[in-house]
This record gives sequence, structure tokens and C-alpha cells, in this order.
Amino acid sequence: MSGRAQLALRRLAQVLPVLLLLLLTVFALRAILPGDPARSIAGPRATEAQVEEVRDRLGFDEPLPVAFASFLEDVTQGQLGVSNRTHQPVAELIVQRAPVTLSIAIGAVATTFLIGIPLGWYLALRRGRADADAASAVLIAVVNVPAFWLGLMLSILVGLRWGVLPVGGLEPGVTGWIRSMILPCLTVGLVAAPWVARSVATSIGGILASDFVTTARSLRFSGWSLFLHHLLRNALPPTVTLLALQAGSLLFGAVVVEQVFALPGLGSALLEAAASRDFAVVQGLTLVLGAAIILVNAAGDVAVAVLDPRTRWD
Amino acid sequence: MRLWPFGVVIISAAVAAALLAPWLAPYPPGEQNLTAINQAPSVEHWFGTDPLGRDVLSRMMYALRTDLALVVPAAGIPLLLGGLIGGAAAYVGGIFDTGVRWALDVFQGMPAYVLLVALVAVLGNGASSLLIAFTLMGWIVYARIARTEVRRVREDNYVLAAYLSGTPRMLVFFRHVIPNSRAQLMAYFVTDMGMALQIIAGLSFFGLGVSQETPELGAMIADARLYIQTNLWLGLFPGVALVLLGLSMASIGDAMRERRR
Repeated sequence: MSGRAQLALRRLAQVLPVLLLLLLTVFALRAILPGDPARSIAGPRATEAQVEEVRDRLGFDEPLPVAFASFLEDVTQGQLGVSNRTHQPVAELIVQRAPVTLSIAIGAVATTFLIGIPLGWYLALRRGRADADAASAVLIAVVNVPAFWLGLMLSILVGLRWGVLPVGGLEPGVTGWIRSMILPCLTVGLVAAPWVARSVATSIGGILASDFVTTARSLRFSGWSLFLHHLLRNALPPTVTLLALQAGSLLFGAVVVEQVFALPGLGSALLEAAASRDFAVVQGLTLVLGAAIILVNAAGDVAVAVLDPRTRWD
Repeated sequence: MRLWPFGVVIISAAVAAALLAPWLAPYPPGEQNLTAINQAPSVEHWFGTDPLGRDVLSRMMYALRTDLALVVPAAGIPLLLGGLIGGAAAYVGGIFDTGVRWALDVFQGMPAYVLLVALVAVLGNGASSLLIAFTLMGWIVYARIARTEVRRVREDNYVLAAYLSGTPRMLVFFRHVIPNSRAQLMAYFVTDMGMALQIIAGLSFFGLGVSQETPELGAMIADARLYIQTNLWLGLFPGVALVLLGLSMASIGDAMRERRR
């Protein structure tokens, strides 16, 4: 087996204990439910028989290891319980709502790169001049703009004042879908882009000063060929790592903007369920969103190992 | 560009406004004046009024009280807990340190934001649920920093000198090791307060923070949502306050981190 494949496998093996801890945490959530957990899960309007059914199904009368084993069995079979408000199975809800979240996540990552990478180059190439200094000061400020507030302000300015784009809900059709995604993606992208820009600027700065670039220049590499072979290849890995590490907050950003723009995604489902104490939905979504973040982080590391042969993990 | 002096000014002003709100606020935070609703900024109401005719500036001063009172323990309790765990692990070493290092590696992979929402959802609204959630999710970074710093300090000559002069190990830890490994922890603490502020405001915006009646910056923005089309000021002032406070804490934290390098 090649060294890189081995590295990738080792990184994936590191994921297992984290996933197990996530399962344990999500399982343990019910232990900290105030009052009678079975009653909370069954919902406020449940009858005594329904509460009894929940207690029996989730194994509240059984010892904890047995209950955890049956929880694991349910999860591996894709059974994540039933919403106590809509009586919809949680797995079905997730399948229904995942496309919106996926679209926002992909769109947001694309926006982040499209804004962040050129900005980072600009900062690196003009380092030390007044305009680059001013730009980095603005970037630091932008990082501290809360996504929910930015989304709200964008929806007022672009959506309501100019009336160009939808500000809430999904418009029908493919064009409508894309139009509905523009403002949410822009919101997340704007908040996340400064991180990428900073990272790109730092790595480009280091690379421009390095010996191999001087050598390449002396060998008359310039323009696109210098950019592609020497600069981009070396600047990309740290940026990918950063983006993968930011996956958590990017996803949280998606959670936030879905609710601001009233889009039916996983994040708005989580927030609605949280606000209405719909425990099974909270549990199921935490598990799925959490596992997604863990896997994206690992995938980012593996991608870096493929992009950069110097990668070592200890 | 050095932003931190501005940060210090802004934070001092915010702390003063929060502490002195009962004396400085021009109106009581809940006082409704239905003859003056949804007003733009004016001489009587510097930041305008909300749909119930309440003075926005006064409400923001009380909101700062709520937010700052939450943010300090939301970062401070994880600081104490994580700092102690990480610091002790590095100081004692051996199996304990190996165990803590392994736990940190696993915990660091956990999706903190999602679990934060889930914890608050399960525990219910209110300050104590927020603090429990922040403590459970927040100690990890502090423990990691403390572990690195104590490992660095523990080999220093003055620590060795303290041992050789017969000082008990516990006393060396508290008298020499902790004071000298504190700087990076404090720098992260300031940065972390800024992040906690954003998250608390975000959770409150979605109705998951403190109770609805308490004035809070995120909740004020949420309240403004329905009226923001006619009165943009309503959402503008609390939002700008959040940006300025976050920026200030981040720049002070950055400056503290770099000073020690």
C-alpha cells in the first residue's frame, strides 16, 4: 500500500472514536432531559399509553448498556424516531430537507473560495501597502459580523428595497431554487471568505519568498506556469485544511441562514425542533449533522494528504 | 494596523454603559410610550424607539448588561476547567497526561456548534443552560493551550530552582507554573468572549437564549424583524453593537497573543 493511502486510512481510523463519542453524547441527551424523559419525547399531547409505548420502545426501564445497544441498533437501521409534533419519521424529514442544506453548503463553499482566494492573492501581492492594510482591517471587521444579522440586512437591502431576489422560502422550479439560494450563500460566503483570504495571503507570502520560487523565476518560469506549478499547488493544501476545519462553522452558518431566509433545510428543522422541544428530531438531526461535520473534517485532511505529499500526522 | 486600542475604548464604554445603565439610561428599558412608536433617531431618543414606543438606546444598555454578564462566565468557566485539566495533565505527566491527550484528540473532533444547539434545546432556555452548554463544549481548547504552555514552562530553570530549594510540587505549580503559562490562556479567553457573544446573540435571535422578556442584543434584532422594512434603525443599532464588540474582543485577543511571541 502506498504511503498516502496508509495516511488516509489512518486518518479515517481516527474518526471512529469521535463518531462513537457523538453517538454516546446524543444518546446521553435524553438523560439530561428535565422531568420524565419518556413524557418529553412523546410530546405534550401524548396519552398515558403513548408515553408508556415510548418508555418501552426506547428502553428507559432497561439498564443503560442494553438501552444504548438498542439505540445503536435503531441508528444503524436508519430509525431515528418520530417527531412528536408532526408524527413524521425523523429519517424521512432528513431526506426531505437535506437538498436545501446541501445546496447552501456547496454554494457557500463556492462563494467563500470565489471571494477568498482572489482577495488573499491581492493581500499577499500588495503586502505592506496602504490599500492592502485597509483591506485586511475591513476583513477583520467582517469576520465579526454575525451571519444572522448580515442575512437580515442583505434580505432587506437586496430583497425588499430592490426587489431583485426572494427573501424567504423556496421559489418553484430550478431557476427559482437557484435564485432562492443566492442571498443565503452570499451571507455565509461573505462571513467565511476573510478566513480563507487570510490563510491564502499567509501561505502565498511564504511561498513567494521561498527558494524554489526564486529558482523557478531564474529558470524563466513566469505568469500562468509559475502560478499553476509553483504557487497554486503549494498554497492550496493549507486553504483546504482551513476550509475543512471551518466546515463546522460553515455548517452552523448554513443553519443560521436557512432560518433567516425561511428555507426548509436541516438547520431550520433543528432550530424549529429545538424551539418546540421536539426531542426525537433534535436527537436525529444532531446525530446526522454532527456526523456530517466529522466526516467533512476527515475528508479535508485526506484531501490535503493527496494534494501535499509532505503531509504527516502524529 | 493596530486595532486593539480602539477595542479597549469600545469595551470600556460598553462595560461602563452596562454597569451604569440604571443611572445613565435615559428611560426605563420597559417603559412604553405609545404616542412615539417606531421613531427614527432624534434628540429625545438617540437610537429611536421600537414598535411599543420603548427607547432603543435604553434597551440596548440593559441588553449589554445581559450579554456581558453571560459572556464572562461562558468563557471563564471553560477557562478555569480546561486550564486546570490541561495544566495538571502536563504537570503530572504519565498515564494521566496520555489519557487527557487522547480525550482532547477525540473531543476536538466533535461538532461543537451543533451540540451547543442540541444541549440548549434539551436543557431549556435560560442562563444556566447556556453556561452548561458552553462549559461542556468550551473547555477543550483551553485544556489544549494549557497543556502546551505548562509543558514549555515546566522545564524552565526557575521551576527547577524552586524544586531544588525544597518547595512542594503543588506550591511550585500554583506559584510558578500557572503564572508563567497564563498569557496564552488569557489571550484566548478574550477572543473566546467575543465568539461566545456572537453565539449567545445568535441563539437568542432564534429564541434559544435567555427568556424573551430579558433585553438582549440578538433578541432585539429578532424583535425588529417584522418592522425592519419601515424602520431599519431598529435592526441596525444592535447589530452594529454586536460587530463592534466582537471586533474589539478579537483585536485585543490577537494583540495579547502576539505580544507574548
